[in-house]
Amino acid sequence: MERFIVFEQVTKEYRSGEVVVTALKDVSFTIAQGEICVIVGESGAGKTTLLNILGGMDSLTRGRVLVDGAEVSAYQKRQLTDYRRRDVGFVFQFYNLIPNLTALENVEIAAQLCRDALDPETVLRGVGLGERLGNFPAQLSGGEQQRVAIARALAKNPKLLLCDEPTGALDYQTGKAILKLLQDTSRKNGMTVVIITHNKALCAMADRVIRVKSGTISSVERNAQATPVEQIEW
Amino acid sequence: MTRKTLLRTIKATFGRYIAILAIIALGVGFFTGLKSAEPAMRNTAEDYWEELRFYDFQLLSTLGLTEEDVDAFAALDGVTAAEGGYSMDALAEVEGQEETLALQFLSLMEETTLVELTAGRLPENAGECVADADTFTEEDIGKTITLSAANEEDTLDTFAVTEFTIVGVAQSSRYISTDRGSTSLGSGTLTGFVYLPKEAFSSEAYHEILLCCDLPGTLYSEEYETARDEMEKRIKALLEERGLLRYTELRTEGESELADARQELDDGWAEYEDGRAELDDAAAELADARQELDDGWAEYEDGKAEAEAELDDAAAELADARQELDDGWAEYEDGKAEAEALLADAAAELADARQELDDGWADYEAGKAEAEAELADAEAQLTAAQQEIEDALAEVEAGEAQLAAAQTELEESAAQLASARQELEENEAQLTAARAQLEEGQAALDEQEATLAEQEEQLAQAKAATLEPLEAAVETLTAQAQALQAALDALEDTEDATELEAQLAEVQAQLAEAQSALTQAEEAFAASEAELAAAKAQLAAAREALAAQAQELEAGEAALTAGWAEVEAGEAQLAQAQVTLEEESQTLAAARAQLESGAAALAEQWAAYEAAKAAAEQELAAALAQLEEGEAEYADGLAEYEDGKAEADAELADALAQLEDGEAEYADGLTEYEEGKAKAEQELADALAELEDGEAEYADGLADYQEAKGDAEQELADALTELEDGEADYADGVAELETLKEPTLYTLDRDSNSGYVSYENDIVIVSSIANAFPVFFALIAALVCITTMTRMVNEERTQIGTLKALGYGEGRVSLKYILYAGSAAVLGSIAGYFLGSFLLPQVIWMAYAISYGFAPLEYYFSPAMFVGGLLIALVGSVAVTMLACRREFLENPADLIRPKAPSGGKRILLERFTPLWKHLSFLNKVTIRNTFRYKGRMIMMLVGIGGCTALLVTGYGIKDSVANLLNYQYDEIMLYDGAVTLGEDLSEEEYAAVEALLEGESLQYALAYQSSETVASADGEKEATVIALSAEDAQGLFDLHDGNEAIAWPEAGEAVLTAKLADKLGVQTGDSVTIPLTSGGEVTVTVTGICDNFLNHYVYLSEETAGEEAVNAAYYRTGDDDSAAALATSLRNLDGVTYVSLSAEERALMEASMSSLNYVVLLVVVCAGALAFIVLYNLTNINIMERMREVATLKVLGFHTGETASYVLRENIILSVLGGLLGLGLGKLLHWYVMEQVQVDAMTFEVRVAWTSYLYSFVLTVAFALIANFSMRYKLDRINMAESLKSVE
Repeated sequence: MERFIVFEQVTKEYRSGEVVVTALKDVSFTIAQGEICVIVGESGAGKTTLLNILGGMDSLTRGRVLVDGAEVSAYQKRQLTDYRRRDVGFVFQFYNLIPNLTALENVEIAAQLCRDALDPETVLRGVGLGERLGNFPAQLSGGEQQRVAIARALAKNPKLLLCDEPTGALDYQTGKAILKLLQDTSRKNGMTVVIITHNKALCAMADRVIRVKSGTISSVERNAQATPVEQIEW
Repeated sequence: MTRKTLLRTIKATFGRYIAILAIIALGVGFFTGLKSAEPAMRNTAEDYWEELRFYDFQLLSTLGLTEEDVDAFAALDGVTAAEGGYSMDALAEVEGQEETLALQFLSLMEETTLVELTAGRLPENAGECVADADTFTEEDIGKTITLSAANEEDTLDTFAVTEFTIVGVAQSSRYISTDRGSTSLGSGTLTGFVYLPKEAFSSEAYHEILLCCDLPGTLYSEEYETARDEMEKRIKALLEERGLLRYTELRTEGESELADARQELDDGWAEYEDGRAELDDAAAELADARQELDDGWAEYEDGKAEAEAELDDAAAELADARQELDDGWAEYEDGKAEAEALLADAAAELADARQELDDGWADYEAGKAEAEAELADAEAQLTAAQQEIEDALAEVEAGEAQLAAAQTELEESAAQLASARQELEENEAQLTAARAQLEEGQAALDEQEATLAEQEEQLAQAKAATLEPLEAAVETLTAQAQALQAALDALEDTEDATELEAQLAEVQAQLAEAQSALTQAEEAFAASEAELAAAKAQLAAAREALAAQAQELEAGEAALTAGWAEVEAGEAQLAQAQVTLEEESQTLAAARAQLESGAAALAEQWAAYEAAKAAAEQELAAALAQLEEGEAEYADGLAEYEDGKAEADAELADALAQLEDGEAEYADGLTEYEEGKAKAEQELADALAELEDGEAEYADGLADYQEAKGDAEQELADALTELEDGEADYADGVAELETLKEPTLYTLDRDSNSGYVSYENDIVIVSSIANAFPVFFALIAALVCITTMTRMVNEERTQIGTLKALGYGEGRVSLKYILYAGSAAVLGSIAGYFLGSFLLPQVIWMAYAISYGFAPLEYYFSPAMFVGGLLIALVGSVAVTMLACRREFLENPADLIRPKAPSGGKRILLERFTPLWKHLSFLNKVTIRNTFRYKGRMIMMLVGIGGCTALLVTGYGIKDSVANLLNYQYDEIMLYDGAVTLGEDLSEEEYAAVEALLEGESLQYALAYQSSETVASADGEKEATVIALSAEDAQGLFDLHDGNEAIAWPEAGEAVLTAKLADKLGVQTGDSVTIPLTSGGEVTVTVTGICDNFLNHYVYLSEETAGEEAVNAAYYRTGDDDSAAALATSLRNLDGVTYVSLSAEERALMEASMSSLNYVVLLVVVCAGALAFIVLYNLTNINIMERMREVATLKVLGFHTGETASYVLRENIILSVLGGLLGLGLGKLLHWYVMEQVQVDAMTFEVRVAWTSYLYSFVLTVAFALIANFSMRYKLDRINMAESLKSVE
C-alpha cells in the first residue's frame, strides 16, 4: 500500500496573542506501508510538530492527514484518543516509563488498552529483556528503558510506530542497538516505522527520507537500497 | 534581584501562594476569632451594665422599704448609689390590642439600673411611661396602656394613675435576655416591662432598694464574686436592722390610727339617725293634697255625663230630619227616573212605528215593480205559444197530402201481384203431371233390375256346383300321376314298373277325360254370362234417360218455387206499406188533435193572464191605501208623546223645589246643635283644666318629696355602708395589726437575675469551644505549609543548584523561599486576624441574638493575640521552608542541577500476599502502589481529612450532647408538670383551698418543702435547691437514679445529692453534708445516694428531716401541658399561692436558648468544609504537578479522560475515605475534650455522639473530597501531552 500515510497541504499555526507562528506550511507527502521513514531536519524545523500531528497529539490548522485511509485530521478528541490507543505506538527520547510500575507492568498498562494486544512478556523477551521483567525503571539502564518503551509501543500491535529521537539520550552503541531493533521489527513484521531525528546519518537505514526545513518539505527521497544499521557509522 | 525573582515567582505560582495565605488566614482567623468571641461578649455586657449602672444588690422586704432605709444604705461604706423603687405586676390593656397583657410596672430609677431608650423620650409626668423595646416598637409610641379592671384591688391601689401614654421604648439593664420572668397573673409569663415615673405609684413604701457598690473585678470574675459576698454580709445585717425598725414603726402607727378611726365611726352613727326622722314628716303633707284632688275629679265626671246626654238627644233629632230629607231625595230621584223611563219607551215605540212605515213603503214599491215585470213576461210567452201552434198545423196539413199520394201507389202494386199469381198456378199443374210420369218409368226399371239380379244369382250357383268337383278331380288325378311317376322313377325293376306304368296310364286317361269335361262346362257358362251382361247394359241406358227427365223436372220446380217467393215478397211488401201508411195517417191525426187542444189551452191562458193582471192592480191599490193610513196614525202618536213629556217635566220641577226647602230647614237645625255642643264642651274643658292644674301641683309636690326622700335615703344608705365599711376596716385594721409580723427580708445579688446567669453560661460555652477548635486549624495550616513549601523547593531544585553552582550562599538562595512563605504568613495572619476578629464573634453574636439582643457587639482586639498569631504563623512557615531548603542543600550542586529522580517504584507489603494481589485489577494495583508511594503526603492527607471529619463529629456531637439534656431532665428525672410555691403562714382555709384544687385537677400532687440553701461539706459549700417530701409522695414526681440504677428516696437524716453538686462539694456516698434550713435550723445529713441530674443542683431530703410544719411548696402532675397550664392559672388565683412554675415553660425557655448552639455548629461545619477543601485541593494539586509526565504518558497511550482521572484521583478517594474513618475516632476524642472544657455550673452535659452525627460527618467529608477531586478533573484534562513529554523541565 503505497499511500499508507498521506499528508495533504498540512499547515500548522500556533497563535499566542497577536503573534502567529507557522510551524508547518503546506506540507504534503506520502509514506507506504511497511516502510521505514526517517524525517530529518534541524531543531525547530517542525519535525516534532509533524510527528505530534501524525500521532494524534496535536491538531492542525489546515489540510488533511490520512492514515490507512482514515482521515485523522477530522477526528474529534475522543476519536483521537482511540486512534492513539489502537493504531499508534510511541517511542520517546526520554522513554517516559511510569516509575512506579515494573518493566512488565509498564508494557501491561499499554497492552490492556487494546483488544488485539500482544502478550507483554513475549514482547519483552522479543526486545531482549526476558530477564528484567520485574525491575522498576529506576533499576534499568537507559537502553533497557528505551527497549521497555519500544516493547510498550509494540505490545499494542499498532499500525505504525512513531519514534521521536529514539537514540537522543543514548550512547552510540546502545543507540545503534535500538535502531537495529526498530529496523528488524519493521522488516520482520512489515510495520511502518516513522523515525524523527536530526542525525542525518540515519537516512541511510530508511526506505524513504523526508527532509524538513523551516516548516516545509525540502525533499522526499526513495532509497531503494536501505543499508542495514550495523553498517552505518556516525 | 531576590525581590524581583520573588515577585515573579509569586506571580507564576499565584494559586499556591494564595493557598498558603488562605490556610494561614483560616488558621489565624479561626483562632483569634473564636478566642476573641468570649471577651467580646463579656465586654459588651460589662460595658452595657456599667453604663446603665446595673445594681449589685436588690433588697426586698415583705413590709416594704422606706426613704429612711434608702438613706441608711446609701450611708453604708462601699455603697455608691442606693435608690428605692417600685415594682408591680399587673394586667393591662394596650391601645389597639385585644388581649390583656401581664406587664411588670417598674419605677424609673435615677441613680442605678437605668434604662436605655431606643426611641422616644423619658416620661415627664405621671401619665407617661416608657415601654419594653422587645414587646413594643417605635410605632407604639403615643398609644396608651390602661390598667385592667381585672386586677386585684391591692394591685390597683399601688398606682396613682391608671392610664399611661407610651412616650418612649427602651431596654432595661435588668433584662438582657429575652426572658421576662414569670408572674402570678394571667398565663404566668410576663409579656414585658413598663417604666413609670415614681409619682405614678401611690404606695407608701418602696418595694425594693437597688444598690450599686464599689466592687473590684470584671464581670463574672472570681474577684468580683468574692468582694460581693463580703459586701453582702454587711448589707444583710443592715437590712435586718432596718426591717425590725420598720416593723416597730408600723405597729405604733397602726395602733394610733385605729383609735382615731373608732372615734370617727361613732360620730357617724349619730348623724345617721337624725336624717332618718326628717324624712317621715314630708310624707304626711302629701297625702292630704291627694284627697282634695280626688273629690274634684268626681264632680267633673258628673257634669260631663249630663252634658253629654243632652247633646246626644239633639243629635238624634237632627239625625231623624236628615233621614226624612234623604228619603225625599230618594223618592224624587226615583220619580224622575221613572218618568224618564216612560218617555224613553214612548220615543222608542214611535221610532219603531216610523221604521215599520218606512219598511211598508219599500215593500210596496218592490211588489209593484215585481207584478209589472211578471205580467209582461206572461204576455210574451203567450204570444210565442200561439205562433208555435199555427206553425204546427201547417205542417200537419202537408203530411196529409203526402199520405193520399202514397195510397194510390199501393193499390197499383196489389193489382200487379194478383196477375203474377195466376201465372204461377198454371206452371204448377204442368209440373205435377211430369212428375207422375217419371215415377212410373222409375218403377219399371227397378222391376227389370231385380229380375236380372235373380238370373245372375242362379248362374253363379250353377257354375260353382259344376266346376268345383271337376277341378278337385283334376287336382287329385294330377297328384296321383305325379306320385306314380315318382314311384316309377324310383323302381328299376321292371315287374313293378309295368304295373305302375299301367296304373299311370289309366290315371292319365281319367285325367284327360276330366279335363275335357271341365272345358265344356266352362264354355257353357261363358255364353250364359254374355247374355246377362247385354241385358244389364240395356237397363243402364234406360235408367240414364230417366235421370235426365228427372233433372229437367227439378229445374222447372225450382223456377216455380222462386216465382212463388217473389210473389209472396211483393205481397208482404205491400202489406207493410199499407201498415206504414196507416200509422202515418194516425200520427197526423194525433198531431192535429194535439194542436187543436193546444190552441184551446192557449186561449184559456190568455183569459187567466187577463184575470191576473186585473188582480195585481187591485192588490197594489189596497197596499197603498194601508200605508197612507199608517202615516196618519204615526203623526198622531208623535203628538201624544210631546204632550206627555212636557207634563212629566213640570211635575219633577215641583218635587225638587219642595226638597230644597227641606234642606234649608235641616241646615238651620244643625247649626243650632253645633252651637249648643261647643258651649257644653267649653264648659267641660274649663273644669278639666282646673283639675289638671291641681294634679300637676300635686305631682310636683310628690316629686319634690320623692327626690328629697331618695337623696336622703341614698345618703342614709351610703352613710350606713360607710359606717359598716368603716367598722369592717376597723376590724381588719385590728386584725392586721394583730397579725403584723416581723418582715422577711431578701438580699439578692446579680446571680438572682436570670439574664445575668444565662449569659454567663453561654459565654462559658463559647470560650470552651474556642479553646478546642483552633488547635486543629493551626495544625492543619502547618501541614499545608509544609507540603506546599517542600514541593516548591523541590520544583526549583535545578534553579537552586544553578544558583549554588554560581556561588550564591545558602542563605541567599533560601532567602527567596523564606520570603515567599514568610510574606504569605504575614499577609495571611493580618487578614485572618482582622477577618476572624470581626466575622466570627459577629456570627456567634448573631446566633445568640435570639436570646440576647441588648447591644451591638463590642469587638475585642487583643494585640497579644495578634502578635502571637503572627509570630506562630511566621515562625512556623519560615521554619518549614528552611527545613525544606536544608534538605536540598545537603546534596551536591551537581546533583541538584539534574532533576530529582522521581521516587522509584517499590513493591509494597501487600504484594507479598500473592493470591490477593493477583486478584486485584491492574489499575487497582497501580493505585494501591501509588497510594503508598509518597508516604508523607499520604499521612498529610489522612490528617487533613481526618481533622475535617473530627471537626464535624465534634460539631454535631456538641449538639447531640445538649439535645437530650432537657429530655433527660424533664422526662426522666423531674416528672412533675408544675411546682407551686406557697405563701408563708397560710391559714387552714388557704391550705384547704390549694389542696382541694390540686386534689380535683391533678393526677397526682404532693405537698413539700423547698428552699434554696447553701450546702456545706468538709471540702466546700455550694448553693443548691433543697427539696423535702416523703418517699411515698415523691413516687411518680421525682425519679432518682444513677444510670439505670434506681436510688432510694432518703430516710430521716439522709440526703441524695445530684452528681455535679456532689462533685463540687467533694462528697461521696456515706459522707455527710450540712444544710441550714430556713424552716428549722441547721441539719447534718448523711449522703446515701448521688443521682443523675442535668440542670441545676438539688438536695433531696425526707419529710421528717425538714420538719412536718415546713410545707411551703407543692408539686403536681396532670399528664399533659395544657391541663398543667390551666391548673397553674387556677392556682395563681388562690390567695395562698405566690408562684407556680411549669416544667413545659422552663423547658421551652431553655430550648430557645440552646437553639443558638445550632448556629455555632453550623459555623464549625462550614469551616471544616473549607478546611477539607483547601487540604484536598492543595494535596491533589501537588500530586498532579509532580506526576504531570506520568499523566501525559497515559494520555498519549490513549487513556480516556475518565480513565486518566480515575488513575490519579482514585488514590485520593481511598485516602479520603480512610481519613474520614480515622477522623471519626479522632472526632470522638475531640468531642470528649470539648465537652470537658464546657463547664457550665448549672448544667451537666452528657458526652455522647449519635450515630447519625458520625454518618453526617463522614458523608460530608467524602462529599467535600469528591467536590475537590471533581474540580481537579479539568486540570487533568488541560494537561498538554506534547508539551509535558518534550523535555525534562
